[in-house]
Amino acid sequence: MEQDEEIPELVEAPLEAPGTTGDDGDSRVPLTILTGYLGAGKTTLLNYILTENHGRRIAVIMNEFADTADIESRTINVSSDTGLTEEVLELANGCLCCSVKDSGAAAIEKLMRKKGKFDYILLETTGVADPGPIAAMFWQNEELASDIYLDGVVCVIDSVFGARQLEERREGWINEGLRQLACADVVLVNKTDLATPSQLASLDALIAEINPTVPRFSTQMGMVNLDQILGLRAYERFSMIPTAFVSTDAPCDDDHDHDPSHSHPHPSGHLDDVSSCVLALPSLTVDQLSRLDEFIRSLLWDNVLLRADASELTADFEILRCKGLFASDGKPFVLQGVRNIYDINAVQGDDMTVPNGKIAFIGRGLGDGHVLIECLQRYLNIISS
Amino acid sequence: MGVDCPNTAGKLECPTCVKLGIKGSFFCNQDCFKRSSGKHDPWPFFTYTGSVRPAYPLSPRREVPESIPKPDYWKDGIPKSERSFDAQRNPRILNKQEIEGMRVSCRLAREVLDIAAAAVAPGVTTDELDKIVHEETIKRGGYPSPLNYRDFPKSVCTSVNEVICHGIPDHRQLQEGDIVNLDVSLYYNGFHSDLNETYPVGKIDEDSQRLIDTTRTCLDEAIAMCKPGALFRDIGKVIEPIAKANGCSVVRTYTAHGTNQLFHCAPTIPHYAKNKTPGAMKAGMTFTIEPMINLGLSHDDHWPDNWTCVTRDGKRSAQFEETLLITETGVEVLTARKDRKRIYP
Repeated sequence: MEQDEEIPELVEAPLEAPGTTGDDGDSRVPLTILTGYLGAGKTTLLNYILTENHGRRIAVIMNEFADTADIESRTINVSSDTGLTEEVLELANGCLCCSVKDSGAAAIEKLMRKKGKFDYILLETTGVADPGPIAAMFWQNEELASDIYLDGVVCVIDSVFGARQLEERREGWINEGLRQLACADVVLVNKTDLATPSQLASLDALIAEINPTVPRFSTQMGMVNLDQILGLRAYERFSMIPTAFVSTDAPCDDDHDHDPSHSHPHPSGHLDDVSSCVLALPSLTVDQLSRLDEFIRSLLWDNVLLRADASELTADFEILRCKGLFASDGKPFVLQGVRNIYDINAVQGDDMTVPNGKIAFIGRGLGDGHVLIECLQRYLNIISS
Repeated sequence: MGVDCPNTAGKLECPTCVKLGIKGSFFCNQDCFKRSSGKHDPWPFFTYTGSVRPAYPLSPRREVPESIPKPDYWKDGIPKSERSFDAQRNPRILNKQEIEGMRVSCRLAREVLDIAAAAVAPGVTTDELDKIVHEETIKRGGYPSPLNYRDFPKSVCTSVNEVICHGIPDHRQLQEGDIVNLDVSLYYNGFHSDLNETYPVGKIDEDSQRLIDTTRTCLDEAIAMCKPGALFRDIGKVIEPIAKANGCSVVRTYTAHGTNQLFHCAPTIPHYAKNKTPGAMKAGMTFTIEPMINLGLSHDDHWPDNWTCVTRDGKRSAQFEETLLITETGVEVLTARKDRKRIYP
């Protein structure tokens, strides 16, 4: 009880307009993560997007965002029909009870409430950053009634030096370029005017080997049709997946023994190599679907391969990205995964048929993926004939 | 903005608010300010979603004796040790000694909550409840974990009616028919404990009672599914159907969390059904479950203090929380009240 406190003297206030009002639109804003090796042309692309007259209000957040916990304030460039403005991202006060909402995401939402919604948000990661954790964070953040959703990851690759960069290996050094490509939902092969046809062809083959499902577009000076990189809904829709799968062939199902004459271009097996594997899936029973879920979560959460005899095998590789489209119980299902976050969802609405179910894994140290593929086949009891 | 004052507020501002950096505490004159006993709404131009208003200025910051061990944020407000990637991603497995530390901390927090709850009555201010929690905590050699955590100004969260969570204790008096949640956390001998309950103030209406009962059931059923191997993502699948069946909704913005040597750490556990949360429970993990359930829609907003979280439709919200330990066979409710089930199954 502090009733008898003395009432203090009032003080004169300086003149200032009070308060701000919030904008309460209902549409969520797509966020695209832009990644790529140093010098690949990200900045050129961003400058193109910021200055091009596209009639959209695009916020471009430059600078590293990798360690979002440590951003105190970041400048953010907003390009709109009224020109280019620079704003400061203000870190929202943290939450007492924990909130998954990342401080970076919360800061963007706060800015939008103050300045009005953007049509798009483009987030540039540094050339040496792995976009996987950031993508996982924004994807998971969507559940929290967020204003922002993860649209996709765009990776810019230099057509002249890209192949050499992707193949570079040094002891004790992680080639983030590989992780960037592994995570990509679209690849922009930039500076194609400077590359020879054979350079382009071998880069294309290398990209397909690492990320077999990714659409690729050629660009010069970062000039790109924005529709090719924005509005992908790569983590929601499955429209991207079937077309992307077409260009790849499933890996051999035979129990092969690394015969050097084998037709696939196999990675050398270096620990840091990023490679991929694809498995064809027949229509799954309800039980098989739940076993698939069990297999995936053990793999992504604990890095453990489940075997049909219930024994466990610790995986000596790391899955960076997985996707799949398959049928179960007459309905199409989509798998999306980045790092240890994944989702298996029935596709809503239309009765699409999935004639050729497939599931793809992209991982570091995965080799040709035959260990993973065999374990999964046996666990689902779908050993192919 | 004085209490019951018909005049438009002038250019005179409350000095305490100015000192605290709160803008807009204007009064028409000194008399009006006096009539309000200096208590007022610091944001008169803010559109509140319900009927609860802040009653500022806050009382001065309460002191914690030097002899009491403090968490890393007590001075500058920054929980540095919580910021590591590992703390946020990998749930810790506690050893026997650490588990014993958690047991003691949780028992003390339960004692403090029960003492504060006994004081809930019409006419009591939330600041008075804060004083009780603060004093009972330090009397036991504990530090009130909320105090200065990310600059939170008080030692307990008091959330009245439409306040979902993180209400800041102030000079508002509880009124007959209110519901109030007291969220107590304390740091003792290196371990944080965390629990909360929602209490009726005098006689409450039927809807409020249904809300409180539903929320308690949500928590109890969620606890009952905890055991080694159970998935964190399935907790929300237990909670949301119960809330829905009772015409209520589940708050999405705030989650349950690991608590041990760190106040908030992995796992992060949502209370809604559809979620991608990774991880399975393992013996030796300690974490909370703390569903926030609304009578109306799940949407939330925040007051300009950046803490007080309220329902957007202004309808009431309740919450219950316990700190849990996963055992070899099930779960132990470390913060259980004496007359409630402690060991599951």
